[in-house]
Amino acid sequence: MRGGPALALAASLGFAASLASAAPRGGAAGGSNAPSLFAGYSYAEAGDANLQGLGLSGSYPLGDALNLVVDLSAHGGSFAGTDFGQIGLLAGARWTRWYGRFQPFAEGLFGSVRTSVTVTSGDVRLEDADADWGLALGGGVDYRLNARWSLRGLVHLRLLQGEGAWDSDPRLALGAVFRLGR
Amino acid sequence: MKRRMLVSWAAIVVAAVVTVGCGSESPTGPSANGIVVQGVVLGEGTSFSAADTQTSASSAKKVTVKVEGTSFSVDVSASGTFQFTGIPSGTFTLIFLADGVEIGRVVVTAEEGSEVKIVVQVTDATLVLVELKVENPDASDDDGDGSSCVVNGGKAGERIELEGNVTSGSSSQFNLSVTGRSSTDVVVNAGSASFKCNGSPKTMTDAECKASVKPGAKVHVRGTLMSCTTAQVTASEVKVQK
Repeated sequence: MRGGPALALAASLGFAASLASAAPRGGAAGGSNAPSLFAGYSYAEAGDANLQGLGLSGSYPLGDALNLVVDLSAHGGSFAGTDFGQIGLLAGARWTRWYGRFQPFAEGLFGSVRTSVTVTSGDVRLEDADADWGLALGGGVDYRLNARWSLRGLVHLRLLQGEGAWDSDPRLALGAVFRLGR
Repeated sequence: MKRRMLVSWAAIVVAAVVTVGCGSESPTGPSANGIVVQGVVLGEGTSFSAADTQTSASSAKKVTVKVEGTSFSVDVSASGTFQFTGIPSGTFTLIFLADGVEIGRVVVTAEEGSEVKIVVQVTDATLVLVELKVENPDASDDDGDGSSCVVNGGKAGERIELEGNVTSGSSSQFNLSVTGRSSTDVVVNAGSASFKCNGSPKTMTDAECKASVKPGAKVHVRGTLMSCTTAQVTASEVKVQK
């Protein structure tokens, strides 16, 4: 994916950052920053391949607005007759603020993404796999349903280096957030 | 003011997501119709067979694919993928370059509206064609994937055994003049195959056996017919006849 990565990055970061900066801290319907767990559907691109899978993440508050985030994702799909699998484990920081029932956030993560490609034809099976270091920059919004549960939509732009090239692959995720410790 | 800014950003985000999420690789050539080529480039350490899969370091070289005689050119992504759209129908040649140096060519013939799926493996300075499928949109084939053909009784994607004489190449890839087949040679990719030398001294090493695969050698090949277009076989076993 090479079309519009800068726009996506700027937009997603700007959107989350502007929401976060515009929002009053701890809005009426908001609450204190708390540890949370996220699980949901995830879509990602790996070069020209479109992959779908699962996203899991956990966050731990380091202050009123700053969180430590660990993000695990697993995707699969096919391209050009091959099967793609991708597992990403990234960690980083998230900035977040409450805005009524909405909690926008911006985050920057660093970690490793392992991509495997399998070609099967008849009784012959070839597999190529390698792990690349990369960054994920983006943001999203949580919509609070109640004190514990929220819905989350997020967009990442993943910058991965491998095969002598840099990929800027988008990732979108939608799912549920469970807040702990209130 | 802040609300207006939020709305603006939201609009940009929606546009960006639509652009990024739904957009595909834009054509790198002059025509929007024609042939679509989807490709995957595997790295050097690709493992072979179901029982032997392992993580491997991929080539750090930047791989570029061009269509000879046209402006079509694309860099292979970090994930190893590439794609062309709008290549004119007919016969065309894909040229693979590693850090700007040509490492191999693949000749493809496809009709208007076809989808070409190609998988290659890049080693130090060579290119091995792993799989090539040309899927015609209105082709009526008997295996349903648009790639049906028959080479010596074998169909694309199925096991095949061939016997004949090596006409060129070496143990990793060679051309085989198949016994009883009058048409062009079959290209055998044997980079990951096991080699046996019938009737050879027991002291013959694997390397010596591989070295005996040279023009004139008679070999028996077991493997899978990967492509009919250029009669490509990926071998799992090569027996060199004495």
